[in-house]
Amino acid sequence: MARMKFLCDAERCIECNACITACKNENDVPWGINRRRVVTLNDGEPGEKSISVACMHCTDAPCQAVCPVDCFSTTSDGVVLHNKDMCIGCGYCFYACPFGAPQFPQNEAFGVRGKMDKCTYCAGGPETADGSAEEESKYGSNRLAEGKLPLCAEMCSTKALLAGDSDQISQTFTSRVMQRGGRPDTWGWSSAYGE
Amino acid sequence: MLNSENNTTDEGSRRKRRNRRILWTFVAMWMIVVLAPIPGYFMTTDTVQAKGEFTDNPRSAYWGEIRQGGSGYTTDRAPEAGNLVNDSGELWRVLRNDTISPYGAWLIAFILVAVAGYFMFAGPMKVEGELSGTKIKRWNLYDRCIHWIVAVTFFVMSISGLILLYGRAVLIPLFGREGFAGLAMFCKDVHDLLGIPFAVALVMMILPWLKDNMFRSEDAEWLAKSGGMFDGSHPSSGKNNAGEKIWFWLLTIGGTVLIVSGVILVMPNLEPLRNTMITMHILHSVSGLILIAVSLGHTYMGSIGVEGAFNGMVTGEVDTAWAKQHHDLWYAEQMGEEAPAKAKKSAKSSSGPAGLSTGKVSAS
Repeated sequence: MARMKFLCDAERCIECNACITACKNENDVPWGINRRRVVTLNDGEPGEKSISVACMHCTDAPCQAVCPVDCFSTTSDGVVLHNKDMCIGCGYCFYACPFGAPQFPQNEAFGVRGKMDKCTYCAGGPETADGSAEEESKYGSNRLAEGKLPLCAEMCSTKALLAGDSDQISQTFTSRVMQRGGRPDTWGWSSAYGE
Repeated sequence: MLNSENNTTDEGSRRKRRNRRILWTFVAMWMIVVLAPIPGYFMTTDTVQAKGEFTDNPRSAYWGEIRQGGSGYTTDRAPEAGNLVNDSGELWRVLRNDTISPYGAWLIAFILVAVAGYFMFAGPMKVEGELSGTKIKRWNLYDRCIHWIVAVTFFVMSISGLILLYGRAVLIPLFGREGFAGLAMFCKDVHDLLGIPFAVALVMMILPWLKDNMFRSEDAEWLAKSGGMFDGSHPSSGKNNAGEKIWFWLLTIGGTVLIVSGVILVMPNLEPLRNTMITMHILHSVSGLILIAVSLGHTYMGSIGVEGAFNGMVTGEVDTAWAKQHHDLWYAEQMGEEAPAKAKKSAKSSSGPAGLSTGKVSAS
């Protein structure tokens, strides 16, 4: 069985934010919810690095471990999905997640948390029929069922964001590192500007 | 003879020389083997140092900092969105799942067993001698209303809180995940909403009851005798005995922690930091579990544990015999009598007609 993962090559990411746009458009993500975000470290300084983060689909997912209603499940592809029918909006997954992936709509009175929303790896929901209208409105698209990878990675212009089976994408990444000669700065600032 | 002598000395010195030659050859070979690669080491170190970047990965410190919780710039406007990794949730996960949950369950089980054991072996505390048939006012209408509002909201929130903490382990095997999710949703809403009346009622209960719950000199003796729980004695006590005072202060401190942490947990609009929410959740669950455990003891004492105590909180009146036995100083104060000799010092001087006016005595 494949184990689907994301891998962001920080030496290639140019902070174009296209992955976020792709995600929002493909999954009709509501206003205020960001399933994916790009963080730039040392922004504006020579040597700045950007990295795109979303749910990491952990093998031993902390969100899954602390959920009081046990509404998370891991698919056979290793994608961590969460059932919005069962979710009670307690926020525990958000406390547990190291990456800040779980998002909560705050459109109820006093900003009380609604049902959690997070990256589905473009694999829809755990309980809805693949590609159904219900799935579309609740979780967004199900590209995995169509044999496609998440759109954020598919349309990454520099191929910094890799998605796919963990073995394959780590091989791709390793071969890139070998080609760079082990020097992380071959790409980017120091080769372009000599710093 | 001479010749042969010469021969032997000649041969001896030749053998000695040969041995020495062999020894030196070995030493030379050993030196070459050991020392020859050393200049090579110097040379490689030189080349690596000349290139500089090979000695250390310049990114290692960079990513190490991120791992420790460093943050950067992001267009995401959510609080702490620039923070890439915050692993304090791992500690919270261990504390909640492996520490607070099991020890909380053990604490509650321990209190339940202790109370049940005490009831079975010692039985309820009865009023000694005959009831006088005369009633004395102990709790006025306000006291009783506020007590039961706090009690009912606390009870419902205890049950819903316990369901949210232990439901996954206990109830999901019974109801299934879908069935339990509906119950959990209901419990969460009830827990969130009842927090408001609980908070208001708790403050309205604590403030007027403060003065009767200040520790006084007779409380030390009461505590030393465990309130007569094990020796059948009746140590002196004012309106509230030391046990009730400890429960009052536990509820005051624990209740304040529960209210403050609960508001922060239920209001993400306040935009608390993730670590703040994690800390608040730990405080909330620990103080909640402790209060639930102690409240079991209070519920026992106020219902089947002490005869007459429950009626006192329902009708507001207690029998004078009950009052004399359990709260002698308070009874004396109410009756305007001289306090019993053993606790004269601690008895208040407010005895007299003023005491009678607050404690109405009525024959029933």
